[in-house]
Amino acid sequence: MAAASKKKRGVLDPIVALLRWTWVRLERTILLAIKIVFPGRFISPLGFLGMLTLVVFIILGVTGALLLFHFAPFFGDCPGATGNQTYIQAPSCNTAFNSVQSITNQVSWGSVIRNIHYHASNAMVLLAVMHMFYQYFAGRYKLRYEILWITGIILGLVTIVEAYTGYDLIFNIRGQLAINIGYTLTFYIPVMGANLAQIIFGFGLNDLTIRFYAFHVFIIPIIMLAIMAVHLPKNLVLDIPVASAITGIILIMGGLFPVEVGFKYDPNLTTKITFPEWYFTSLYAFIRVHGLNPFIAGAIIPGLFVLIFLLVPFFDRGRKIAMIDRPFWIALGVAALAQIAIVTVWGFRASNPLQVLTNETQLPIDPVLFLGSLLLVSALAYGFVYAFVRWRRAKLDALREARKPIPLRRIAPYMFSRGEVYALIGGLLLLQAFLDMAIFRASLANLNNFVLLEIGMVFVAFAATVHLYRVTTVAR
Amino acid sequence: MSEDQQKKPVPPTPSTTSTPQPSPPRASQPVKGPLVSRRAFLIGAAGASVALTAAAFMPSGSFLNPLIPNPETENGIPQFTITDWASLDKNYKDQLAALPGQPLDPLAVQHPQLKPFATFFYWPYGSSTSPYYKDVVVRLPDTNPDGSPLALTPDSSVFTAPNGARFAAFNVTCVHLRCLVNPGYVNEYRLLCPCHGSQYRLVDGVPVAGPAYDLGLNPLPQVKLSLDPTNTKLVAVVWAKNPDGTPMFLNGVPGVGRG
Repeated sequence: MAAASKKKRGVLDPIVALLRWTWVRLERTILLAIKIVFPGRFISPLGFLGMLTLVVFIILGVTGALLLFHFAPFFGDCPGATGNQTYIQAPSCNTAFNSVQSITNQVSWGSVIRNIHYHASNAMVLLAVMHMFYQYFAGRYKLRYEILWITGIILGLVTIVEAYTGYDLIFNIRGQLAINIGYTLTFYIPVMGANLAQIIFGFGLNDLTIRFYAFHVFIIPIIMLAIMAVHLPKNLVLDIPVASAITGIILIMGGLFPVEVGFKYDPNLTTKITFPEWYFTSLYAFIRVHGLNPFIAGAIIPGLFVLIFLLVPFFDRGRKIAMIDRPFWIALGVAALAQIAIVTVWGFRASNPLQVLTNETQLPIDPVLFLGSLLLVSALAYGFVYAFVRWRRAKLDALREARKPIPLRRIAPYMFSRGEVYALIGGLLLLQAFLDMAIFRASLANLNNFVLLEIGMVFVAFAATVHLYRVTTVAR
Repeated sequence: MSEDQQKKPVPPTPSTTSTPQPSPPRASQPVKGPLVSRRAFLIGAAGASVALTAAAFMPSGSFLNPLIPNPETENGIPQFTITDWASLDKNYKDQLAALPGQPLDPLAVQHPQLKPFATFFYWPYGSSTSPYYKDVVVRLPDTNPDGSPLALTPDSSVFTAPNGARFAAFNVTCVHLRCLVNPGYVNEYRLLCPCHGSQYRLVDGVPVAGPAYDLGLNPLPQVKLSLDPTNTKLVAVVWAKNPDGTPMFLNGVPGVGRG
C-alpha cells in the first residue's frame, strides 16, 4: 500500500484508467469475443486474403456512404426530337449519369472518392477470388471447414452481384448493356423468370434506377453482412502493414488509372459496342459462343462451374490436406484457373482470340474452338499436375531411401541495426510529411489524380513504418 | 461392455410404425387411449398457426411489382405521331442519287454528309419509360444495290404512303439479349445488333444471321403505321385488340418477339 501511494502519478493516468474502465466493460459485449491477432512479424498475406477482402469491403462501405451524398438515383426524362428538328438532349435526361459526371468533374474530392470506390470494388472481387483459390489449394474446404467454404462461395457470388448493381447505376452504355443481358438471363429462368425480371428490374428506367439503388446500397450489403456473420472465423488476422499497403495500392491504381464515366446512355441515340467489366467478360465470351442458348451460356454453365466448387467438400472426403496428396482436386483447381483465364481474355477479343475485336462480325465464337480449348487446358492441367506429383513423390521417396532429410527452404531474417532503424523510420516520416504537403498543394490545384496517388504513397509509407516498428520491437 | 450391447434396439412405438401391432392389454399399465398425444396435438396446432400467419403475407409479393405506366395517347386515342413521311422519302431519294449502285446507309452513319431515311421513336411507352419500347421506322428501299427490286415476304407488314413509298416499322429490342438493333446493310438491308451480332431482315424482321438465327428465335415485333388526318405524318397506332378488349400495341413482346 505504501509503495503504491509513493508511486508518482503520471499525467496520462486518468486516461489509462478510463481506457481500462471501458475495456473491462466491453468484455461483456460481443465485440471482444472476436479475437483479432496482430501478427508481430511478416507472414504471407495469402493466409489472410479474406481479412484483406473485409478491409476493402469496409473501404467500399465508407466511400459508398460518401457517394450517397451526391448520387441521384433517378433516370429522369428524355423527350425525343419533335418533328424534323435535330435532337437536343434534355438536361433532365439520365439524371443518374449526370450526377456521376458531376461527382467526377465538379464535386470537391468527388473524383477521389469515386476512384477509390471503383478500384476498391475491383480489388474486392479480385481478392475474393484469390482468397477462394488459396483456401482451395490449401485444402481448407473440408474437415469442419464446409460451412465456411459454402458461405464463402455464396459471399463471392453476392459480391459479384453487388459489383454488377453498382456499375449499372452509373447508367452509361456499358451499364445499360449489362442491364439488358441481366434482364434477359433473369427472364429465361423457367416458370417464374418473367415475373422475377420485372420485380428485380422494374418496368422502366426510373424503376430500375431506384430498385438497383436499393439493392446496391442496402439490401445486398445487409445480405453480405449476414453471410459474413457465418463466414468469418473466430480468430481474425489483421496485419496492419499489409492492409494499409493494399489500401495504398488501391489508391495508387486509382491515381494512375482514373475511372472514366463512360458514354452516356441516351434512349434517343444509337447504342455503341462496349465491353462489360473484366469479371463479366467470361460470361460475355460464353454468351457469344455460336449456337449456345444464352440461358445455358450465361446461367447454366457458370452455375455448374460454381456448383462443382460448392460440392467439392462432399466429394473430397480424404483426411489429407497436403497438395501432393490430392492431385485430382489440385488439378481441378488448376484447370478452373486456366479456364477462367481463357474465357476472361477471350471475352475481350475477337472470335479469333489473337485478334482485337473491332467489328460486329467478329463477335460469334466458334463452339468447337472455344469448348475444345477449355477441354484442352483441363486435360493439360490434369496431365501436368499428375506428372509433377509423380516426379515429386519419386524424389521424396529417393530422399527417404537415402535417409536424407527433406530439404526445407529457410530464409534467415535480416536484422536491422539501431542506426538503420532510426534512419529508415526518420526517412519514412520525412517522406510522409513531404507527401502530405504535396497532397495539400495538389488538392488546392484540383489535381485529383495526384492527390489520390500521393495518398496511396502515404499509406504505403505508413505500412513500411509499422512494419519496421514491429520487426524491431520483436527483435530487441 | 461392447458397443452392440450399449445400443439397445428401441421397441417400436405404435405412433411410429405404419401397422400398429395390437399389444396385449396389461392390468398394471393401461394403454394410453388417444390417437394423438396432447403434446403432438399442441405442436401441430402451433405449427399450423405459424403456417397460417405466414400465409397472411402470401399476396404481399405483389408489392414488389412495378407500376405499369400509361401508354402514349393523342387526343385520348392511343397513338404516336412519328415524323413526316415525305422527308424520309426525300432523304432516301437523295441517298439513292448520291450513292448509285452502292448500299444505302439508313442511319447515315458511314456517310455523315447524307441524311438518314430511318428514324427511331418510342411506342407505346415514352423514351424515358423503358429502353425496350424503342422502335424504328424505315423508308424501305425500292431496290437492292445491284438494281434488283427489293422483294417483300409474306411476313412483311408494310405501309404504303400516298406516293407509293413503302415504310416498315419494328421494335428494335433484339430477342437474343435485349440489345437495341440498328438498320444497316450486310449482304442485304438488315437490322444489326451491336452486342452479339444478331441480324434481321429489314423487310420483315425475321432473324437471318447471328445468335437469334442460330437459336431459332422469333422475329422482331412490328409496329402498325398509319397517317395523320393531314396525310403528312406517319403515326404509330394500336396493332389490334386483344381478345379481352385491351389494346395490343405491337404484334409481339419486346425482347421476346412476334407470335
